[in-house]
Amino acid sequence: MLKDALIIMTKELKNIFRDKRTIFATIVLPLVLFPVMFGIIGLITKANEEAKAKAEYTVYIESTLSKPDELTKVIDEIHGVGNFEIINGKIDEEVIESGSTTVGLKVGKNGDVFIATVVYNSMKEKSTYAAQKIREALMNLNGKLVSAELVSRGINPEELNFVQINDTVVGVSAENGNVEEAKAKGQFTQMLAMLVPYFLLLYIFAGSMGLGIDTTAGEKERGSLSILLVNQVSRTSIALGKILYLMLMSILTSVLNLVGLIIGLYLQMSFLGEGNMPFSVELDAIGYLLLFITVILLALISSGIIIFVGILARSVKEASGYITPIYMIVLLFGISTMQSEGSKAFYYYAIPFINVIFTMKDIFIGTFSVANFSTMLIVNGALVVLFVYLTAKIFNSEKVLEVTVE
Amino acid sequence: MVQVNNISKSFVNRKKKRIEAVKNVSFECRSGEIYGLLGPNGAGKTTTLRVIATLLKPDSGSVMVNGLDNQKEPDKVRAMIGFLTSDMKVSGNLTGREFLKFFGQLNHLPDEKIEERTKMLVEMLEMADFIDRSPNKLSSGMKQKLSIAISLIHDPQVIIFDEPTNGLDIFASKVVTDFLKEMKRQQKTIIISTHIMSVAEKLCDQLGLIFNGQLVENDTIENILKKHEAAEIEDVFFAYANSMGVIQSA
Repeated sequence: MLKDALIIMTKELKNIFRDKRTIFATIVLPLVLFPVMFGIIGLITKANEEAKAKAEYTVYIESTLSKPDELTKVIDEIHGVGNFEIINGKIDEEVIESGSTTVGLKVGKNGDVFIATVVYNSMKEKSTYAAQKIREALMNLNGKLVSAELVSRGINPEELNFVQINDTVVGVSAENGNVEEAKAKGQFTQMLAMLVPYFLLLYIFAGSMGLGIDTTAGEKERGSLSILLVNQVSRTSIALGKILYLMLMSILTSVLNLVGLIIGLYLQMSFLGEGNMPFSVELDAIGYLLLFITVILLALISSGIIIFVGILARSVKEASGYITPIYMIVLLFGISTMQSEGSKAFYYYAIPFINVIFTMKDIFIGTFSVANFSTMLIVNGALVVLFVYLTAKIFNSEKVLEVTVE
Repeated sequence: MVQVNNISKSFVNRKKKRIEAVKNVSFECRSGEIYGLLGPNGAGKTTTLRVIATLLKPDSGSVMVNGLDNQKEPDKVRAMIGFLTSDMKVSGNLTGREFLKFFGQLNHLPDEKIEERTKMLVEMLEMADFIDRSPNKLSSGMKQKLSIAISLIHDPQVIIFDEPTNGLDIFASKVVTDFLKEMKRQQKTIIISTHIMSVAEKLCDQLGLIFNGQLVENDTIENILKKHEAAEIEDVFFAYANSMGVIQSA
């Protein structure tokens, strides 16, 4: 049975890899699309940030400050945070609304407290940026005034810290116990635990939908399925062969998409000057093996469902109609669990798809439990066997043929 | 030898109406003979052949293939049958040769046997020019020849072809009919369906005329003509079509 299934799987793989469009869509596109897309986004964002930083801004200052040196202090702080031209005078809101690099600052004093109002156009990026910079300048001024006041009262501001906080990061190894490196690694692992299960779920299901429908309902429509059925191969072998083929293709597409996505994110972060995130995972060989088994099971369940529904349908259109709602449910599972951490209650590991997400999170975060993993393994394994059985049953029934009375 | 014993088959259509596609059909075809099922579209030819080929289960009756009941031992019967149905279409990116190898493997033939059979079928069906091309690049006649080769890769004793010359040009059609004659000479048991009377007259030793799922004639062409005092099978065919109210739209 397995030998025949492998023959069918090999034939399907050979067939699909002869198709240039499929090779492009399955292999080339994911590896190119995400890096190019995120790279361009990174470059554009970087260029935008640089343009905002380099731009010349005009600040209209409407001051009611009585002492000139107080206004000078404000102006000095503003000059310290960016390229600002200062114009003293009444603020014309229409001028600020129409200009992209123009903001206003009303400043006065109530006793010892500076009262400042920033006037800007929140619809315009540069105006918002300039307003933010002015707030930053005013906060700097506030810091300096507080320090000066404390010193004048004979208090060293440094001595005002009554709590000192140090971090010791566990569960993540870092060179010479470097805490910052360990923190960064931990953050990266958290990001992987959030993104990888979600994207794998998404791509394994979505990536196999089209191919799965084509190899079932599509073959029915083209009339090439009945050629298989009149041969000596068992119906279970046909079902298994098609599921195995789809499983391999879905894993391939999802891994390539994920690799493309990570390269893309890395490129984007590099362009934005945040490329120091360590690309290493705290997984040993067993961790990788468990992850591999989990991904295989996810791909097998997805392929089993798609092949079953595809063979049940009478046409490609009908199959798409059946599979789309299932995909929406799977997507909902992915989105609803994206922010959750691992190690949920036992019954979570008995729910297909959700159990795979939490198992992957557990493996990444290091909260893996043999009992939960075994539950996931048994539930998903049983489901795969059930779908192979049901698909073989349909192959055995007359439903598999588009029966037209001749 | 194939013995079809009183088979009936009905379907429920989308409007939940039961349609009797085949009613109490019986005939037999011996080794070295060609049996032809002749009838208009929708008469029940394909359904009868699908029941023989194990793709459909009859509501009643039985089919014996070389002494084996095709419902009780479908796998063994499939190994003896080469089946080609009109809605079978080879498609995909593999070459014709790769398709033959694939189906040879599914029929558990050793590689040497597959190569030997491929060589023979390519020669007999005049496929040398296109055997290394994918079906997507072939004409309908070439595809039909490839489908025939695929159905016969395991050298079956029983050949069941549904409309084997349908849609073929005159040259491709001759290659197929000559091929069937050669198979007959090799003592194969051959059952074909057709609605082309010249094909039936040229090829068949026995003829079954089928209308509305019923086999109205089951004899040699000579005896059918004698019984109806007709010069050609076409005359008998239209006489039945008129008497049974079968109206063919042009």
